[in-house]
Amino acid sequence: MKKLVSLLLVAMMVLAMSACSGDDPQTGGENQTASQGGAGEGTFQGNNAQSYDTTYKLGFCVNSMNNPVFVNWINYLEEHAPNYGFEFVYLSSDEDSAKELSNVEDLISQGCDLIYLSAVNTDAAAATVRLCNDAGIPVFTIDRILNTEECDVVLQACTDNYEAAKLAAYQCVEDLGEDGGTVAILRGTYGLELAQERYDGFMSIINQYDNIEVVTEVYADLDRELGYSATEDILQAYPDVDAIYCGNGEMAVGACQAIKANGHAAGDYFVYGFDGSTYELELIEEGYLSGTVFHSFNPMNEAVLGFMRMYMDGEHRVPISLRYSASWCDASNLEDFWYVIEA
Amino acid sequence: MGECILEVKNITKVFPEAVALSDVSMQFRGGEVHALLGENGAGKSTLIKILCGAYLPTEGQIFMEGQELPKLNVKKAQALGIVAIHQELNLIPGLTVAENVFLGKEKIGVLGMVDKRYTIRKTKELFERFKIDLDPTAVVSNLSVAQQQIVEIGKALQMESKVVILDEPTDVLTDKETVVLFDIIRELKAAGKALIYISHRLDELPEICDTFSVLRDGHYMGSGNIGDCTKADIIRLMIGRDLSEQYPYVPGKPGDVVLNIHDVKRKNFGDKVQLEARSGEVLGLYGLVGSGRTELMKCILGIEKPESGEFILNGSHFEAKSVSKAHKAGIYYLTEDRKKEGIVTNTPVDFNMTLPSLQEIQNGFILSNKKEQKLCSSMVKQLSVKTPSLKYEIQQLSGGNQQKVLIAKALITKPKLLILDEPTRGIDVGTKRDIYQIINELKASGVAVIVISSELPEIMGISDRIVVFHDGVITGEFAHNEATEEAITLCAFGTKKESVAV
Amino acid sequence: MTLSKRKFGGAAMLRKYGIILVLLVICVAVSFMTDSFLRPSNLQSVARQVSINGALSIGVCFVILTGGIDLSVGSLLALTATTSALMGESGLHWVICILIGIAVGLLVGLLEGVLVARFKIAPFITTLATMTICRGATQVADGGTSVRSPGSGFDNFFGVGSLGPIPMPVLIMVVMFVVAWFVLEKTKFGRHIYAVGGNEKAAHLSGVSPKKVKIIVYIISGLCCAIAGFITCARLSSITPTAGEGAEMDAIAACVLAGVSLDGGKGSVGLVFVGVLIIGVLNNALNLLGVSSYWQDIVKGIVILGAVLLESATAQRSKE
Repeated sequence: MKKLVSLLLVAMMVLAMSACSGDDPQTGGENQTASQGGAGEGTFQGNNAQSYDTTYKLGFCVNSMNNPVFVNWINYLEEHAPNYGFEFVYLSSDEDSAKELSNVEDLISQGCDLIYLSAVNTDAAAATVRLCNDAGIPVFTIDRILNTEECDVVLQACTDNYEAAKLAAYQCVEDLGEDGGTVAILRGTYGLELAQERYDGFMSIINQYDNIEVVTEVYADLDRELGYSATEDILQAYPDVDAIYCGNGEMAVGACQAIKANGHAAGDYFVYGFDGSTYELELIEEGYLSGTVFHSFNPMNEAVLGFMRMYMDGEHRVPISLRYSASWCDASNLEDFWYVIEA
Repeated sequence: MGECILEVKNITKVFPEAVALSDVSMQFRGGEVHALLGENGAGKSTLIKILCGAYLPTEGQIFMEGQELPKLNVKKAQALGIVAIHQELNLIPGLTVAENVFLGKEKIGVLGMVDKRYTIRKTKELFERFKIDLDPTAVVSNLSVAQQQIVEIGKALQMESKVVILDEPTDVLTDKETVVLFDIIRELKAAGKALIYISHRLDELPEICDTFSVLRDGHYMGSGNIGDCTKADIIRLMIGRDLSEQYPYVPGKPGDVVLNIHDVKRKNFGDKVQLEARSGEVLGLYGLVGSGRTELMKCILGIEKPESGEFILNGSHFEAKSVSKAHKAGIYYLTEDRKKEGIVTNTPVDFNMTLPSLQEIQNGFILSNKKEQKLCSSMVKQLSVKTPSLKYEIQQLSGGNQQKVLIAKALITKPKLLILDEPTRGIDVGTKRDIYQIINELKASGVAVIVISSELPEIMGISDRIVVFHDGVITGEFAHNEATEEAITLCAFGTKKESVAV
Repeated sequence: MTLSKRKFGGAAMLRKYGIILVLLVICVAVSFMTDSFLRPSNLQSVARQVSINGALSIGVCFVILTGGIDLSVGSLLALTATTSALMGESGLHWVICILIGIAVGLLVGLLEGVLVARFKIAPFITTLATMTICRGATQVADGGTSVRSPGSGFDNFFGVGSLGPIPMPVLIMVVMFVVAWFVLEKTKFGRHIYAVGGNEKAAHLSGVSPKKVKIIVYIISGLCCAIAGFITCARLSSITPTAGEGAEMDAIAACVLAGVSLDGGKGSVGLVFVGVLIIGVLNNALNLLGVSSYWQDIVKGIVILGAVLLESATAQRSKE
């Protein structure tokens, strides 16, 4: 009897696993926004539908799934990669470099022909990319720039965070007006280059105004919870602060939630975000968020896919870097940006 | 005296291992303190548990004021007024005295909350009535054990009672509290309640008890008035056993003194102890539970620390620091609690046997399976241990065989002084005999053996010399031939040997 | 008591070695679901991936065998590796860096052992505290950023290099398991560990020093954390501030899968290796099949529950 029970348990485990893997590898389990027009195997639909002689397997290793921006990349790539003759698979590293390495190893084991990587930690990722280099597998990156002295990357795509941060700064100057005022800043992860750029770009404009003072800077690690608690502390310490600039969307959402929870009305504080996630757009509508930097990730990914196809077809003279500018999204032009999300 | 309040008729209680009570009938009258006497294992606590409703008798009836009580349980018993003050304290350390006294019977006030002032007031009244000198608001964990016992008594007093059972109540009390207790008992007696009093302190019986009943091996042996009997009479009723041939005694040839325990006294307990263990001799240590023999032996291992005295091993001073030091000196102690301190569960027989002597089965620093199997097989053979294999997990063996494995473990260390604490506790008769043989063989080979036992026939049967303890004090020493049950028991109950008239 | 040998044998065999059956079943099932699994390169990368957990779980196994637990292994992994890496940055030769990292691991282990054995603070609480302290100390030391590894010599030895076809991390892990097995099965100290875990009082009365044994196993765990830290750092050529976060869970899970009793005194380190493999194969399989990481955690949890139920179901029988 007991032996039967134990064998049943083993069978259950195996069933559990096969049930999970029963999902089409391309779709995985997570769907934050509906992805219509998903590709079936072997047929390529979409705007630029062509038939390709060779299908390549594209492995995307994303740093985590806890920001709608990242999920958006996955959805977009899932939908559009087949247009370029790619079979798309992805894995999430859950902000763990060791997991990232394992993931990339497993993507290669699966037979991926090229790797698209958004790194958890740009130093640690170098070793992972070197692994791909040794295996002769081309690597493309998005969002987080790697040091090309340490490893070989075909193409690195990202937003020009420095220039984009200026957009927030301009808005801030305009909002504070002639009298100026005080600003608090929520910074991203210490040591992360994109976070540094978003800070430097913002400060390059603010520093030109004597009547605007930065009263405090807090590292909130690009995290919503930390953004929430940091903002609560700021509201306690500096109740008269005029504006809060957040280095990414998640921190901005956390900041707005803290403002709401402390009983303030929309518009009591000027809050600026950076990413353009759906949560931020909703908060702009409600009035708690004054505006946000909207990345051009969709056109960027489209371009990257195109360059990937060129590269795999043998044309290796593709750009080594793509830096895209971003747009400023606030209440005045909100409708323009909604459709992008819903597509 | 008064009316018969509680009566038991033909009570028999059978457990899977043994018959605890056999056809016992007794009457407990109001206004009378009735002592319930007997040795360890005589059945006293079983009887009390039946009276309190904790056990159901296998046969027999209980009558309360003439009414039969079928299927008694604890709640019913308490509701009927049968109240017990147990040896184990059932107090909540974090609560106050008053809260403990009223535990489960708190007065609920208007808003559904406990009425604290009522509780404290009532407790104060209770204590004043019985002249108990305790602060009702004191937290129980801050009290001494004796004071806690008084709180336990207070708990019982607070309940409506017709029968009050006191189980060894003076064990933890000092003289001061004992006086208070006896006053309480007299008051309860005057109020017409039936009191049942269990104690092994025979000397205090005449002061407080009126009548007595004796149990032996689960049988009712007789009753009487305390005033009409001598202590010796009572003891004779309690133990009157024949010394049978179950104890294969061989006279020892005592050699040199191996261990001399000189002026050793434990903290707050007993008096300075002088003891000598000689090679080739079995020294039996007898006493009631709690007389301090085990703790004294554990001083040699460095587990207990005496406040004075020294140990002299083979003529020179021995620093009793640790177990391994004792082992190196050739002293081995076998515990009385097999389960808690003896066997390592989930490990095989050979693992247990060789644990203190791993250096014997090493090749360099690697353990040799071959050496281990050889050594253990020979021990198994020598001691007739019944086990399917050496790799059998030790907890699967019967109690007797587990004990044999532990004895083998001791023998492998080649001790010069072997201390056996209750070596045959919980073991069947056949294996007991085997163990006595082993002890004889050890003795013959020149080992000094100390046996601690609470079984009088056993200690008388195998010892060359018997030393009797009472509350940490040595009250008598007997050679094998001069030992009698009455004399030893009197010593165990506190009478010093000089004053014994045998 | 008549327990027939056959009845005793069957249940005990399944209880002891059932986990090997589980591993085989999983491997067979996965190789049917995807042909990437059995590729030699994949098997090699699985072996490399499990080496970190393998090293950690040995230390944890030693501690659990004595009846304790060590929650700090993940944080100590980060602290030892970060210390070594920082020493490398100051220009010291990588071998010296390793020795310093090991020293840190041994010291923290000693501290934990003394707190548990001498001051009698519960292992759960002690290692919960050291877990937090080590993580904090790591982040103070590295200032919140990752640190480079102490050079390519280091990377080769612990991460990227191989001895013939065997990758170095795998070799190191296997050697550790062999040494651990040897110590536990064939030495006096190993017996003492099982005795202390099985019945501390009985061990004491048998001349074993439970204090010494407990302190030493925590020191061993510290050493294992250091080695695991070196492997982590070498694989990525750098050590991140969040390295090893949550690693204690996989290490403890491997021991639990192997039937190491959390009460102490029971368990075989060889089976811990199998436990480590099961977790590694599961991770790899789920990745190869493209299952999202959240489902991975659920499946892993089900497998652990199943394995533990298996063990307790067969254990009940032998108690009769």
